[in-house]
Amino acid sequence: MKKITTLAALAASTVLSGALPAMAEYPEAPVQFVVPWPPGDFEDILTRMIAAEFQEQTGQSASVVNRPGGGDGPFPGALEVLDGPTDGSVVGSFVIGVPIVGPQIDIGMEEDSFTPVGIFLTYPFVLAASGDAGYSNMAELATYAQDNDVVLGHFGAGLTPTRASFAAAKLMGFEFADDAAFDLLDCNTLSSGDADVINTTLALIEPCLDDINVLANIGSEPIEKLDGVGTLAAQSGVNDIELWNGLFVKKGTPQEVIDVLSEIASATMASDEAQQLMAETGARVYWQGMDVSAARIETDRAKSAELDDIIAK
Amino acid sequence: MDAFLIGLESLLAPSVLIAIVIGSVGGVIIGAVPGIGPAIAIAILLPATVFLDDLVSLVLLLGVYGSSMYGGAIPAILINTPGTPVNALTTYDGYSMTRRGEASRALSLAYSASFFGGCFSIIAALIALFVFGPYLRDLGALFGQRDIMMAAILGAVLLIAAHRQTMGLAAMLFGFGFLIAMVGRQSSRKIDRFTFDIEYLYSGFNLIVVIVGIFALSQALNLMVGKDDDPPEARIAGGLLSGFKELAGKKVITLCSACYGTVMGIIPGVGEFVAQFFSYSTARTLSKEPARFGHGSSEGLIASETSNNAVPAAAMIPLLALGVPGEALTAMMMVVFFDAGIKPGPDIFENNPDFLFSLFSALLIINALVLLTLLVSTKYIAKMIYIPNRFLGAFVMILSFVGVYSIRNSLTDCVFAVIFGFIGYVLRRLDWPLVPIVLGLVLGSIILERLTAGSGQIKSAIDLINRPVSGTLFVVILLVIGFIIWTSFKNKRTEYQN
Amino acid sequence: MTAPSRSSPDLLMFEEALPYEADGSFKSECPPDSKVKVEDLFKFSRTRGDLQVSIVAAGIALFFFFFYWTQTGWENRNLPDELGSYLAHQLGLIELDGRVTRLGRILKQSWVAPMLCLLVLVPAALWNLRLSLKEHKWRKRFLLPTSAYFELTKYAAALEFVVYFIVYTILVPVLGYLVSTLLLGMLLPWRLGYRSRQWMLRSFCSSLAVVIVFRTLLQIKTPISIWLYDQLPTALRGFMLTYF
Repeated sequence: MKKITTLAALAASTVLSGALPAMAEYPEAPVQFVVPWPPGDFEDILTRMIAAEFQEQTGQSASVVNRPGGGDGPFPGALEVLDGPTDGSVVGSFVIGVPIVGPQIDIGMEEDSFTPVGIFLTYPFVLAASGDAGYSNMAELATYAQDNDVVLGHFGAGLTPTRASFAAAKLMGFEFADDAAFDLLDCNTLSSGDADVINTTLALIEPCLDDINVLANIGSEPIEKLDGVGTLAAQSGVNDIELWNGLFVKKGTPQEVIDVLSEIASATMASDEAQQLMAETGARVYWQGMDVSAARIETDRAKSAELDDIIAK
Repeated sequence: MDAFLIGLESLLAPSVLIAIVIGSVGGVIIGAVPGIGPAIAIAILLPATVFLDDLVSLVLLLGVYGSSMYGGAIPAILINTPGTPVNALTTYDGYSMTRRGEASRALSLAYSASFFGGCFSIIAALIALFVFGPYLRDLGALFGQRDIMMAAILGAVLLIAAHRQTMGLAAMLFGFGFLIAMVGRQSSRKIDRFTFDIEYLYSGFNLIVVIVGIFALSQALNLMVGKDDDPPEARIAGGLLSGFKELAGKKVITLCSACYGTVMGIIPGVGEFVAQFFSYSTARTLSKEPARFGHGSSEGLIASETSNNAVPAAAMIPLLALGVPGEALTAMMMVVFFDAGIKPGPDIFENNPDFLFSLFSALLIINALVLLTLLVSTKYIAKMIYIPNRFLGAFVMILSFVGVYSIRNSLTDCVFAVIFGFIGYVLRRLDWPLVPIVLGLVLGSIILERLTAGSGQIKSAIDLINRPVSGTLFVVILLVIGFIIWTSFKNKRTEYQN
Repeated sequence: MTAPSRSSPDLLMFEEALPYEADGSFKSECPPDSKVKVEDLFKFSRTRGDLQVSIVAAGIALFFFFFYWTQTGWENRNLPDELGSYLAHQLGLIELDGRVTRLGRILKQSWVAPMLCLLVLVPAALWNLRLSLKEHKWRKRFLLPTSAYFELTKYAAALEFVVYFIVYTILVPVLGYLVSTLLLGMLLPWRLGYRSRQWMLRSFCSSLAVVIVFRTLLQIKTPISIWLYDQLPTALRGFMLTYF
């Protein structure tokens, strides 16, 4: 019921209005990092690292709250952060879809609802096919698809990597016979024949990496682990938009909060643990501060619109 | 083989051992208190397990599940009140024995029978893992989305068929559960079902909210609105080890019941009740003293207790192998699997074989631990029977709040949980089955997800059934439906003849 | 009961059929049924409130059926133009030339699953209603009690506790988890009749135990913006928010 959340927000804002001048020392209260996905995936692991570092550095308790949106993805969790206070006690860990697709669907989010603290993770999305398929890169797939049915498996038609794949197909002159949205795409999907080409993260197909053909990787740089696999952008001419994850706070949060968070998060990303995650899984772990991130979001907005144009043609 | 050893090794972690102890002892106590059962305990513990390590949380829940039936026999035998719903049959023979003054004989029979049943199915599962495990890895490729969808549909059909006298009711409640599963919006897939543009409904109803509501909160309401029982004093005298000797004397019935329990547990949609029914009837047919059944027959007691304890371990098999839960309690545990990042399904044999061995070995240890505990402390556990119902109900209500809130940190979830609790209360008063709603939610979401994912490869209708597994399952579904129609016509005909 | 006098011999047709013992006491010819019926565990008979709830259930099913057409994307459906021939093709009856729409593209649309669900739900709900009406008429015919008043009083009693729970849910963000749980944990048993000092002590201890185990030890999440804690000085506020 909306009434309860409004009641909570009302309570929070009355506190805020009374205590604002004393906001000299952040953080004053326990901080919650909201991850709008179920626990266990990359962004969850890295956000937990950030929270642990935060707790250590500032002495204030920091916890990670998983707020999975079920079928609706990150949006319910993002709306939670939107309903929260602007004193930096609720920080969101969002994927690119939230600032870019969020304002386009009718849920009350604007393009400037969130201020980025920084971007720290690029998911290692790839296009893969089973080992005995008749193609091992995008060009061969294009030829194959002219005469045969190729079915694409993905995590959702509205997701950035999926749209990149569709746009790439359009640019290369072929069409997927059909596509299906899965909740989990891994080795079994390919071996059981549920999809011919899948659009998934590297970690999920790790166990059978030797038996499958990775056709392309979706991002701006090739993944080191996979040598010989070109980026989708290079092979098809589509733009190099990536699926990334970053920390966000609600618009209106004081700069001081952003600075503290930025410092701690960049330290976390440079740590051995995070770098090891990168080496093992092919995810790219880095830190881009507030201004760089804001600029990147704007360019990505344009790239995303470009993808939509290509698909719609 | 190494997987087995690795599995055993991971059991030796202190947190896992503590979880085993808490799970077994806690489970016995929960089972022993009439009014709360494993469903409520698992529903409440489930959200808390997100914070615990995966093996720890699973062992905890399994401990509660497996040991509650041991504990449930205590009040069933002593005061004619089943501690858990599945101990209802035990009351017939067990309480009659108590009235004759043979309470401790009944208890020891119940314990030994339960122990045998539990261990039988666990060892059968372990042997199956050892023998078939390596081959099952290759079978993984046979199970795609469409196959699992067919398995879920089969589970649904079997569930409805198992409610012989209330099939229409079960089908309707299953339909409601399915409907609840479908509410939600998936913006990235342009799917919007029944959300009526209400923000809360965008992410749909969470399984645990519904489960805590329908099982835990409804029972809490039931207990609080009802009366306190005034159970009479029950005296337990004498040793509790005589049961084993008696068990050895009735090998055939014991083995038969254990087999029934194991087989029925594996078939999704069926459960302890049907297993008990068949084993009790068979025991009566095989027995030399059928007239004593219901009036203190040791064979009747053995039959019911062995079969209902053989079900938990066997019910894990369809969950692990196919990702399709066989009954409500295993459905709840599926949530823990997902949180642990272990995807139940055919490739579990490839990806996490040591986990499987740990699981079943832990179950074995739990059974042994429970038996030891009971042999020593039955008197004290029996005292728990006397906690007044209404106080218990209040306590369950308080516990439910923290469970529901910790899922999605949503107060609206708590309000919906209590609404589901009220609905569950109404259903309980009407004697309508509760399980179809929960399984409708679980199986329904499985069917939904697999249909969407499998739709890519479906070019025409034949693609739904032209795979080996889905084709076989489809034939089985048709056979079951045909069987249901045939028996109901047969019953109608005999009705008119009378 | 004494044996009837044999005043009119033509009424007595079969002497052996008399159920009376020689000494005049009655002995039934039907032995008592001593077999335990396991089937009794599965016995189902419709109780009093059944008709009302069946009507409500059928109403809910029809409600969803009514809103199916607007709420599931049926309006945006994407079906092939000649549905009849498409279906015939799927069943293998006729051959279509040209590009045939893949069945999968139809199945993955958002209205398909709700349609399948309603195909099961609505007939089952109406069938259940029919059975319930049959039972109700049967009871009325045999002048058995059919009033569901008692059931309604029970539902109202349960609703009272539902209200308590909802109030508790609203109180937690205001007073904090510790205080609200202690309040509910003591007021609820008091309302249920456990009013002696011993019981009050037990309620207090058990609710305190719940708070400590779940909040302090397991750190289960509870709302973080709590009005009562915000009134406290900062240091205490942080402590209370973390541990209670």
